[in-house]
Amino acid sequence: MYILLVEDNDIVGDGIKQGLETLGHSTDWVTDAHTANQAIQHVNYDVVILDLTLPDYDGMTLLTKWRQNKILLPVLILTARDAIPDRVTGLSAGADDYLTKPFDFDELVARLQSITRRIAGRADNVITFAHISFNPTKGEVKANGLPVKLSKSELIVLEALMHQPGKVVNTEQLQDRLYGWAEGVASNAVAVHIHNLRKKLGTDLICTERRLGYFLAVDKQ
Amino acid sequence: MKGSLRNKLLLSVLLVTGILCLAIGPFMYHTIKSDVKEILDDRLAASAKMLSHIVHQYDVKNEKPSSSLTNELIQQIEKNRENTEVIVCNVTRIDGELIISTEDDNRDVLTSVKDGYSFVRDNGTIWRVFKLTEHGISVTTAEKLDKRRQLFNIVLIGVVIPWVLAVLTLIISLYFIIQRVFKPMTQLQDHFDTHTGSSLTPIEIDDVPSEVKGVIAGFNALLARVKAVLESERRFTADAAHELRTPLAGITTQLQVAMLKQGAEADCNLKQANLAVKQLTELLDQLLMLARLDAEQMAAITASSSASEITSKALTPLHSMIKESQVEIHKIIHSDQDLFLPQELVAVAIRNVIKNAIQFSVPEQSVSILVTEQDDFVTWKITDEAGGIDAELLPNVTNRFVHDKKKGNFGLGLSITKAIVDILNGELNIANTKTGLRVEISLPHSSQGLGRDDTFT
Repeated sequence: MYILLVEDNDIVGDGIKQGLETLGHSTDWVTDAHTANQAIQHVNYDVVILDLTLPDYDGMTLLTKWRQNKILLPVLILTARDAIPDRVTGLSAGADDYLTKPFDFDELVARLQSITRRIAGRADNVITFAHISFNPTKGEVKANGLPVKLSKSELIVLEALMHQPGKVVNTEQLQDRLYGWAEGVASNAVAVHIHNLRKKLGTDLICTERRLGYFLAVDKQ
Repeated sequence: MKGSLRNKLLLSVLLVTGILCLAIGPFMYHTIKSDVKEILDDRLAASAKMLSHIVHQYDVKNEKPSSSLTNELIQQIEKNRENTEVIVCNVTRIDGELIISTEDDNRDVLTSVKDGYSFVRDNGTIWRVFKLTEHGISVTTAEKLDKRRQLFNIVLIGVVIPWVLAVLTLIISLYFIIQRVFKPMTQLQDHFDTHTGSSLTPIEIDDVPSEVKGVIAGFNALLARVKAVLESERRFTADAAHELRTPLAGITTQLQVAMLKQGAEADCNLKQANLAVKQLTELLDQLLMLARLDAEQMAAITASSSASEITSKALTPLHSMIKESQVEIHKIIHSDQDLFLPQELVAVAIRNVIKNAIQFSVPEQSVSILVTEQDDFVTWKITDEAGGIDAELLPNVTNRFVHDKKKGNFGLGLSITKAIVDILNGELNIANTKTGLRVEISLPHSSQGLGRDDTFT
């Protein structure tokens, strides 16, 4: 998953970002609503974790604005406001889920996966394409039923491609997922990971669209 | 009925009216009876005198009695037989010669009595009799007691019925008047009955007397105050819960992430969790202090000290923070007055302000502390160069959990300072300067005039 985390508390934000990245989820962390708004204009995230109490303006206002502008990105509200009216308001404003602080980190991850699974229309966490099956929760990849060991970066690239089989995922998007938004990255880093994936999963699984990006070959399914 | 002011008043009015009726009734009965008896007796006597006078005049004129008089009188009496059913009479000469009588068979009754008033029983009938003897003529007039009683009863009924009607009208009128007068009270009671204990809706009743209006206004003012206090408490609880949950979330997240990692990789998460624990501890300490200040349970011993000692006490716990922040502290003290203030509390009040100033300053900025004397007050003026506070936030900056979100902290430090300054009858002034914020804490030299025997507990 490629996640945008909007959280103004340093300790909470740092903990969530580290935890998600340890589990192999790319995470961009911003601390105010204005930066969050800029981020989603430029990057294609899978899901947003949104705190409501932000220094510049309220997270609820930000979410309402997104929904009014037809930005349908899945949003999980993560806040200390635990009153029922707050939950109702949050969900009514367009949030896909609502979790209150303090929370269990495993529950947060499970809810994020639940949201992305629901959006993708899948019944379980395992994504299957051709002879490849990928479990994002466990970070497990199998080729023809046999486990294949992939690095974290390779998992991120594979997940991005498997979410949209047949559709081109451009290089910048893959770079954002790998290294985060607004961070510099080596120009051939993505190509190296694609090369490694082809080596481990089969050379004809991932196709290249010159000067655009990569996609999974649908005719191989 | 029990406890109802209106019903008690109604009952009292009925009781008083009843007692008055019971007291006046017998008196009125006897007065009427006596008056009627006197009037009827007078009538008997007047009739007798009139007859005696007529017969005597006739005798004098004709020198002897004439049978023609008798005949004339008998004719008149016969003519007025109906009237003479009420009063009968008998006229005789002193020697017993009957001149005239209205009765045929009662002559013995009418002749055997003494002069004056008397009662005579004849064949089961009681008569009231009056006998007058003068000018050689005896005139006896008599009236049946039954007839007199009938007359008395007619008079009595004529008096009693209007009186009873007047009393009933009075009672009914009083009932409606009391109902009307007590209407606002009844409406007030209905309001209390229909509103539950948790309702804080003001009472609105029209057309109330000034006495009740005052009570309602007072009660509504109290309700408004309770509502404001409850709202403030609710907001405080919500804010406190929010501020407590955030560091807790930080601790749990960092610890769970540390468990996901292995060995030295988890160290940074543990350090972050430790930092969150410190923040949480600080928040809890501040909340506890506020709670104690609210309940005036903060035992603070007043002892002789100086502004310099108190300032040093305030700064001591901040030394490491000052060092890390690289903020310069300039301290100028123009006060050598002995102060009789609770040192610990005053130090906390000043420390919170200095701590905010350091926290919001960047390295190489300075915080100045100037202590001056004026009249019986000592003033700590703390000025920083950290940019000040948003103008919108400034009027409420001493409210709990009100803080500049861009600058962090919990928003309790200045609330505690304000509470301490209020307890010590001092003044707190906060204003933006061109470069930052200036906070002035003015306190009286002594807190011993607060009436708390050197301590406030």
